[in-house]
Amino acid sequence: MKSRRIPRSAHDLRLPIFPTPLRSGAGFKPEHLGDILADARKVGFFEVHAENYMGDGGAPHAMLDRLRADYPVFLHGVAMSIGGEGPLDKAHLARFRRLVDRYEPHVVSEHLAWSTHDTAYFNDLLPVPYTRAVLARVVDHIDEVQNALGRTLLLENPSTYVTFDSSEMSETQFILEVARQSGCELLLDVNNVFVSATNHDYAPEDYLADFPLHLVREIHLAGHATDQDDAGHTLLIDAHDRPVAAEVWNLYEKVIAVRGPIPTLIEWDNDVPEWSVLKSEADAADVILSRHASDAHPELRHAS
Amino acid sequence: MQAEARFAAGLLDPSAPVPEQVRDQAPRRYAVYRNNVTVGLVKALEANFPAVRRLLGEAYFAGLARAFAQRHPPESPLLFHYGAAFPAYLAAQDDLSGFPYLADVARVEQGWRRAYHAADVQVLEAADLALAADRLMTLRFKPHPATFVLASSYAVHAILSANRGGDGVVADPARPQAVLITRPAHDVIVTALPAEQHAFLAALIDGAQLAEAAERGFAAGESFDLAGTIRLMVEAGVFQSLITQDGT
Amino acid sequence: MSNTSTRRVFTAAMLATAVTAAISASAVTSSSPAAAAEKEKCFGVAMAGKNDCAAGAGTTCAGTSKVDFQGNSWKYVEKGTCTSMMIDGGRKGSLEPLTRDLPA
Repeated sequence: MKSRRIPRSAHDLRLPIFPTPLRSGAGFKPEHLGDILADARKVGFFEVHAENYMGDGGAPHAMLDRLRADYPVFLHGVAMSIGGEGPLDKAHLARFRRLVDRYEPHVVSEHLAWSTHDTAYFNDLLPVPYTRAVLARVVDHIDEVQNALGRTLLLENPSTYVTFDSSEMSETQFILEVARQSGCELLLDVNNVFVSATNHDYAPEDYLADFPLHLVREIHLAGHATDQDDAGHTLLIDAHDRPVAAEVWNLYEKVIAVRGPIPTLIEWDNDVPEWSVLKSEADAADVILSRHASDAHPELRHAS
Repeated sequence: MQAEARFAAGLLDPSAPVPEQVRDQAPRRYAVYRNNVTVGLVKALEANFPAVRRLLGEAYFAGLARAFAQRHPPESPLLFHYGAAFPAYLAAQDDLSGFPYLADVARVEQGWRRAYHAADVQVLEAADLALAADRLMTLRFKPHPATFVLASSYAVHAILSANRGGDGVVADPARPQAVLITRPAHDVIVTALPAEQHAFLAALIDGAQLAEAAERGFAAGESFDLAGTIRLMVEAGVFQSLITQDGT
Repeated sequence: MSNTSTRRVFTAAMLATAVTAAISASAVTSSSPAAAAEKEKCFGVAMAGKNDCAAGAGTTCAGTSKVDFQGNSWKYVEKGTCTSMMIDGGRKGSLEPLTRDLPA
C-alpha cells in the first residue's frame, strides 16, 4: 500500500553553504514562489521575517525549505523588542533559535526598537530615547540574543516619527556604542535614514558620515509614503509599498562607493507587486553594486 | 516600566492624550505609530477571517476589528494566530444578533489557520488498521495536530465555501451542519460532515474506542455509513496513529 | 434519530467487515505522488489572494500609508444589512425573519 506521508522536506538534508552574495536580494513573498523558481536569472538572496515561520509546520516551512535549497536566506526578526524595558521573551528567543538551527540563515538581523509591553504585542517598531540607560539594556538584550542564537546579530537603524528630549546622544553615536559594547554588527536601512532625516530636519549625508559603515554587513532599501504633520512639516512614512525613491538610490550609491558592494535587500511589504516588478528593483541595485565591484574590500567578503 | 507604558497607552486608543514625552511635537507624529498599529491589526484580522470579512463587508468589518483590537491586542507576535477571542467577540455583539452563524464561521476560520500552521506529522494509514485487525473493538486513535471538528446549529460549511471564493449565496443557513478540517500534507481540507459522521469522529477524537464511537454514529442516525466514514477518516488524515495499549 | 430499540451492539466481526471494506477502498484510491501533487493546489504556485488558501496574517516591519479614520461609523451601518450573504428567496443574511416565519 502506497503511503500518504508528508513529502520529505529539505529539512533533513544538508543545506548548501553559499558565499556572501555581494548582490541584491528580495523580501520573500509566498505568492512569488512559482515565478521565482521559474525565473532563469536568480537574485542574490532572499530575506524572510522570522515570525512568519514560527508556526509548527505546513506550507510556510515547505516553501522556505524549497527556497533555501537554491538561495542564501537572511532571517530578519521584527518582534524581539530589543529596545524594550522588560526582559526578552524567552519563548520567542527559543523559537528564533529553532529557525536559525533549521535554516542556517546567512545573516540574522533585528531592529533598534520595541514592540512588546507587559503581555501586549504592538505590531510596529516603536522608538527608544537615546540615553545611557537605554543603551545599557539594548546592549544586554543583544548580548542575550547573540548568546542564545550563537550568532552575531545585525542591528537595523529605525525610521522614526518622533524624537525624545531625554536623548543624551545622537542615533549614530548610540548605534556605534551599542555595536562597540555588544559586538553586534549593523544593517543599514538607507530608506530609514532618509525618512528620519526628512522627518527631523537633518541631512541624511551627515547621518551617513557619522554612521560606522565599516560595521555594516547588509543594506535595506524600500519605498516610503509622503504625508504631513499638523504643522505642515513633511512626514515620510516607511511604508514599503512602492519603488525606492530617487533620493534614496542616490544615497545608496554614495554608501556603496565608500563601503564597496554588500548584500542589499529590496523590501516591499504592502501593496506587493508582481515578482517582475520587485525583481526590477533588485536589478537596479545590482547595477549600482556592479559599478562598484572593484571597490570590494576583501575582508568584507565574509559575513559573520 | 513608566516611559514605555505611557507611550503604549495611546497606541490603540484614539481618545487617549499624546504621551507626555512627545507632547511638544505635532500630534500627527505620535499618531503615525497609533495608525501603524491599528491598521496593522485590522489587516491581520482581515487576513485571518476572510469569510467573516466578506460577510460583514469591508467597512463594517474594519470598524469591528478596530474595536476588537483595542480590547484584545495580540499577546504574541505570531499574528497568524491573532484573534482567538474574535469568535466570542462576534457572538457578543448586539448588532449582530440576527447573524448568529458568524461566530461559528469565525471558529472554523480559526481552525483552518491552526491546521495550515500545524506540525508536519505523518497520518494514520490503512495499513496501520490492517495490522490491528485482532483488536478493532478497543482501538483508540491519536488525532493529527491539524484536525479540527465543529458541529454548528448553522450551515457553517456552506457559508464558509460560499464566502471563500464562492458566490456568497447560501440556500439554507439555518440548518445544522458539522465541519471537519484536516491537513494530511500541505493543503488544508475542509469537509462537511453529516451528523452521524460527526458523532463518530468527535467520539474518536475525544479518545473513545472504535466500537463505542461506531455506536455513537449509529445512535445519531440509522443511515450511518461506518465503512465509508472510516475510509474518509484515513484519507482525510484525521489521525496520526493508533494509541497503543500503554497509552502512547 | 434512532431510538433505543434499534440501537446496535457491535461485534468484532461487524467492525472487521467495515474496516476491511474501508481499507480496500482506501487502497484503490490511495494517492500516487502525481495525484498528491495535483491535490496540493495551495502549496507553491498560485496561492496568493485565494481565500481558500489563506495563510493568515504576517508580520511587517513597515508602517502604513493607509490612514485609519478611527471613528465609530461602523456602529451606524444599518442594522440588518450587516452581512453580504444572500439566502435563497432573496433575504439578506439575517436569520431574524426566519424565526418569525415559524408557526406560532
